[in-house]
Amino acid sequence: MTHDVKIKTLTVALTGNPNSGKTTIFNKLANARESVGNYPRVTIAPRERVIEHRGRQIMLVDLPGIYSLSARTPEEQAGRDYIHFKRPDVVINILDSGNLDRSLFLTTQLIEMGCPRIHALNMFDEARRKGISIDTTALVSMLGGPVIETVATTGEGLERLLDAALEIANPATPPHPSVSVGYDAHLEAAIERVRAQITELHPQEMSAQQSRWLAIKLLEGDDEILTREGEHKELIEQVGTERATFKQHHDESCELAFAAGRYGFIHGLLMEARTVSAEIPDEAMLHTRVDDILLHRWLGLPILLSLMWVMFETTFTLGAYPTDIIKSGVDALSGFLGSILPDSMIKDLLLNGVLAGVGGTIVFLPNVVILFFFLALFSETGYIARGAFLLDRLMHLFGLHGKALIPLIMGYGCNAPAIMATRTIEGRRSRIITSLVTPFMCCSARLPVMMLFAGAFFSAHAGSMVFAMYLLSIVTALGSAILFSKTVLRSMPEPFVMELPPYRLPSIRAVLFHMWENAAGFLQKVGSVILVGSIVIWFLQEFPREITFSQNYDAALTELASQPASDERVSEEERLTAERDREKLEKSYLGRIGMAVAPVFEPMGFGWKDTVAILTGVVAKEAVVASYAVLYAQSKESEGLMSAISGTMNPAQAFAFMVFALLYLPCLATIGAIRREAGSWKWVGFSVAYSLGLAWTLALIIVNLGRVLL
Amino acid sequence: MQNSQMEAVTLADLGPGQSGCVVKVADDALGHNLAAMGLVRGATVSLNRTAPMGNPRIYAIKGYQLSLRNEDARKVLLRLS
Repeated sequence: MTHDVKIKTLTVALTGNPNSGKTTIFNKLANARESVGNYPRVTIAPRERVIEHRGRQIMLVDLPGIYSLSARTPEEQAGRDYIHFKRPDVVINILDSGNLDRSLFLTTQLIEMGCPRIHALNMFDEARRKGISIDTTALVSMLGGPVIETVATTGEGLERLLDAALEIANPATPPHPSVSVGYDAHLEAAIERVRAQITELHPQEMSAQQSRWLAIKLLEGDDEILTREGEHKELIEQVGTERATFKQHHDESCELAFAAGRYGFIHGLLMEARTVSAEIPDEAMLHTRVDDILLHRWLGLPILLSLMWVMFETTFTLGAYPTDIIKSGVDALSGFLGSILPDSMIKDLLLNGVLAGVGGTIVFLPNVVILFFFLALFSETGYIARGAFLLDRLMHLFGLHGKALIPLIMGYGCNAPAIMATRTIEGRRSRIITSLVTPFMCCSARLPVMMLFAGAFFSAHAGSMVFAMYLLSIVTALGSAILFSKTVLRSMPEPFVMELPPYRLPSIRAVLFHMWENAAGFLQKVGSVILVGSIVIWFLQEFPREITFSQNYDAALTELASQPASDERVSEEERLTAERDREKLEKSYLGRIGMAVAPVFEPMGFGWKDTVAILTGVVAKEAVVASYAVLYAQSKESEGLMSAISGTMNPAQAFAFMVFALLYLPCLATIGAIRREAGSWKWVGFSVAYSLGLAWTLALIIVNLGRVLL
Repeated sequence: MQNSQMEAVTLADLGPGQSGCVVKVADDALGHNLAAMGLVRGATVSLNRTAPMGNPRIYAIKGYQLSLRNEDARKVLLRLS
């Protein structure tokens, strides 16, 4: 290896169809070794990570899963732009060995772009079990790049993948003989004519491969490429004539002819390089049997609902055990610190600010982890796609797309990535509707709020109350979707084109990784936003120190102390102390802020403490519980937070508060995601106004119904 | 050609267990998308499954399963085989 090669970090982009195991390969490669740098996923940009292989730094880029590079969806656009403009040193094209026919469609486009490629025949074991054998040597020459058999879940072949990347990037390696996808004579003639014109307009600027690619893209009617060449009037005109003539003569557009040509190329290639055994393997039979049950015309939907119920039930019942352990751990730590630290403001800050806020939130970690376990399980096995299939008709009634099920279910975990998942939906209108209604899904951050209130006010039916909140969240999301699709986002229905991936046993590693990633995200939030928020809230409620009380409590208490002991004295003392603490809180900065905003919630009868909790929840929903924990930390130290708040509202108000907390405002991260996916602040404004209005109105209705009924 | 025209049906008309050969795909954005997914002239396709409310349906194409709504499947013309 020459010296100058060593200095530069190699960029290796991973591309492939959805469900090809691309992300598993990325995670395996990125985590199996010490990572040199880690960049979080930003906007639409792909996930990146720098790793080291044989002393060389490699930046791995995980591009979104796509079927084609035609730039029809935002993901295709992102993938194509990355490969075209960023020019990665090597592109690793991940292929599903059991489904090469379709996987190779993307490959034909990569071949035409002429980027240095490695082909990973992933899930090779699965293909073998299906009775498929592939002649990799033949494929190497036909695809014009190394072909490597891999099994992402076990890590088989991944080292060789990186070796091949290093080799291909080494200038000393002779380039693979270039291949081209051949089309029928008429298309080829048209390509040649357009290419001649391109060579004339861009003399010596492009290689033969590049001008051929440009000619094909232009003939395919690629809008963006056409705009880019817009200055060359004669070229655009020529392309227009070629396209029109072709369609006239062949009763088929160029786009369709190119697609047919590509599949023809793949067909010829696979005829030579692949043999499929005639008998149907047991595994395929088993998958069909499983689908016979899970996609049954009558049983399919009830099974889907039952699985959802099991998910939520387990999240709460199973989660309760580790939660108790964490809770006693926090209490023990709090007690220990309380006994060793001298009384001071620092001690107060640590116990009633930091520990109360962070500890009050962290107890919900087990619930969050269990929820993400189920979400990972559903998506890894391929069941979520089946759910989308089962529910499409129903979703269609609500103006939504079957694929909206995926972001909606993911929304139970966290709204922000769920909104990113709307990108798989074909139509822009459906995409925006889904992004706007996904924030109503009761995310794992709202779960603590629901559990706190359900436990405090409806302890006998806490589980059912939380489940009711989940139902309400989906009802609100669907109801709003109907409303939007009938009013602000009315237009033509959009198509539903979805692959049903074969069932796959989820790898324990992948599920654990997913759980860990989300648990780490939760802990990170607790360690940052919640920690800082708890400290800020503590300060706001402790200051100003000098308060002019309406009466001299201390004098009254001293006077009481001198009287003979009696039950009356004790109760009077308690009354005075409570009165003093209340006035102190109300006159603190926090109290003043809460009181200023409280009139908004006056009709529901929420107090200023509730107002403060609501305000902090805008930053992150976990902060609602943390705020309550800090606000009530001093008054009733011995008892839990649940019993502390249990007396503050009537059941109708508590229910109204839960509904309000469920629906009001997306958190900051979600607002950012809506801005990205819906494409403008206008939709963010709409989302904020709509959700606030809806939450406020519903809460008001519930409180008033409560007044009448209770 | 004459013969195939007469027997042409759409993908949405395919009955359980029936299969057909794609003759033509609509020349619009959806048609182009379907072509990229493998529904190109000459491809064999069969009906696998129908959702609870009769729509969407799952088709076997190019060795995998593709789910389409009936209204979208009408964009594909077939010759029954």
